Amino acid sequence: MRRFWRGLRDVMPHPLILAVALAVVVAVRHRAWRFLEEQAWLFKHDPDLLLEVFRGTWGLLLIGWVFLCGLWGSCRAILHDPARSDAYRDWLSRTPWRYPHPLPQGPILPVPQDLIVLAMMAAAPWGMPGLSPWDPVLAAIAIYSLTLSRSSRTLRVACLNWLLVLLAFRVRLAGFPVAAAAFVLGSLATGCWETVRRLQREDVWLLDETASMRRRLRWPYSRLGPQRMTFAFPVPLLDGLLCGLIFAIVAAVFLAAMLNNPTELQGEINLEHWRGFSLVVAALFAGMRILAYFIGMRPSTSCLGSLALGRFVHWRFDRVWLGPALTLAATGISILLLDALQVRAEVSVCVALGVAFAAVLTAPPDWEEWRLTGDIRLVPELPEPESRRSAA
Amino acid sequence: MLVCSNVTHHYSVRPVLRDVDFRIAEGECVAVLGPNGMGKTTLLAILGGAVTPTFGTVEINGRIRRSTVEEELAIRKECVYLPDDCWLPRRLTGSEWLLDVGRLYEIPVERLYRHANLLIDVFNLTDVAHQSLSSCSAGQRKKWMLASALLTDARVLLLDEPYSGGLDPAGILALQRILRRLTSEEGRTIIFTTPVPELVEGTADRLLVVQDGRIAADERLSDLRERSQNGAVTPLLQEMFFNSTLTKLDRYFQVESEAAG
Repeated sequence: MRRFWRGLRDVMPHPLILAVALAVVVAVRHRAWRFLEEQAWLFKHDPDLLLEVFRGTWGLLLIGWVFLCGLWGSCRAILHDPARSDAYRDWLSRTPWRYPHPLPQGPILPVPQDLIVLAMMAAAPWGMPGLSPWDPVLAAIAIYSLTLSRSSRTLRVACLNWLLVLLAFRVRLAGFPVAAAAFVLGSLATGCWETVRRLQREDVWLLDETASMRRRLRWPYSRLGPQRMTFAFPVPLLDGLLCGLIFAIVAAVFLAAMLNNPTELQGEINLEHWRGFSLVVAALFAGMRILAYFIGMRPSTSCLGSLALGRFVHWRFDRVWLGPALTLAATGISILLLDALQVRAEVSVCVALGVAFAAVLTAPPDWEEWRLTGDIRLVPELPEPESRRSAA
Repeated sequence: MLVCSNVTHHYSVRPVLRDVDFRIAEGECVAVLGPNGMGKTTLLAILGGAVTPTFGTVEINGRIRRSTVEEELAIRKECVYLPDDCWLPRRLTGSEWLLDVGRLYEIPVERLYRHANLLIDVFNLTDVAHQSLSSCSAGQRKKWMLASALLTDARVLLLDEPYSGGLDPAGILALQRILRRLTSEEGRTIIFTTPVPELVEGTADRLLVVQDGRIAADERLSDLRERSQNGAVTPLLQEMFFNSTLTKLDRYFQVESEAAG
């Protein structure tokens, strides 16, 4: 029994937050019922309209509650994860801990006590006409599984998780809560499976000194030492295509929401211009990729130097431009091709954005290979302060 | 048996340890002494597996540290390294923490509860046993850290500055006696660092003096006792370590008495 309470404390929010949340929920529910009673006589001839008014007023609070439940989901995945705390991970890496032994700080994976927290989330809007008690629960589980997969080293799993959650969101908006729940549970299963794999992987617990070594070494040795980017270009082709697909779906969801929204803006949206917009987004992606490559790296020969030497192309450095160029080219070609095939403008925009995202992620050159073999000059991440330089 | 062979370690280009070589037999209690910044903590972190040396190896009970996953895990089970400022979970209570550590090291339940209660009692932690660790004072947190290391029943204990961090005199006394008993009666191997020679006499039976990243002296306390005139080791250690400070103090007192007189 003591273990059960301890487990419940591990998954519950802080008691103070819990008390405040409970007080607010009780007060809001009381006020909502009063609202229904007060307005009932006004709408006695049209109860549907009363329901509509009630949903419009109190539905906003439900969105706030859904947001808070999502926040709990995120905290639940982060709080006890050794991958998110260097001190905890260091301590754990000195002990004989192995999966499936319980983690001393608390569980990362779902435990029966989580059901109590989820039941509390569902209880807040329970019984209120027109408000779904399951939305907060689904939001909490979806954000929990997305946060779990964020710690994953496999981009493929994270992509799959995002895809499932986005699909759940889309089908929930379309009015299919059961299908949405199925997608969210699928995402939860994927997140948990990947977390188990991550915890089982041995090298996580044998101290990986790369990060601490870089901190210790500082410039310029830090640049010469082994490095691991949390996200290194290019990603494997399949991962890139999956990311592109997800990005296209996200764009489609937003575009559909915008077009279905009965506002005065609707008449002003000219989809023909949006084809050009996808090219602008592709240029932004290309710019971000150049920035990512240029952190701490510069060409060994400056522009003036190249002019003076008459060497305008330094292939060993200039191949860095290949990725952005391919991104722009792939996006442009896809727009022209879809235009020639007379595909609808909104579909064409989404596909072009997906292609741009996939291209920027998968285009060569390999960052590590370019860093180690390119014709580059290493520079510090931050310039030394002027005062220190003059003092030296 | 713990064997440290030709361990050299650099932070950036600065050498912290150079060719450190020693052996510690089972059941020995060794104090690593030396002034601040001489490499004591780095040496212990290397022995504890928290830092990989630039060169050299550490062998514990016939297994080489960080050679294979199986060997490393086996070493971690029988060797506990407690850094000076160890991580503690802020949400848990002290007693929960002790039980979690005991379970992690697979201590039988009966022994775990009995030992945890005894340690809580010895370190005067009964009043705060059910308070969260975040509400404990620095000294109490140090006691929880020490208790968690002692609870593991590990054959080799590597303790970095166990007497520092706000430990009160009662805690120091308790720790000295416990360490003494663990080595003399249970044959466990203990290595601890301290910059204070006075704390060595009641605990250790061998001294390793680290100076500029090298082992400057490796002495048994019994030998030192024989060398000292009255059998007390502390004055001899003070003379060994703080010779220049003692000379400066003499000069200070002389100048002060001349000015007063």
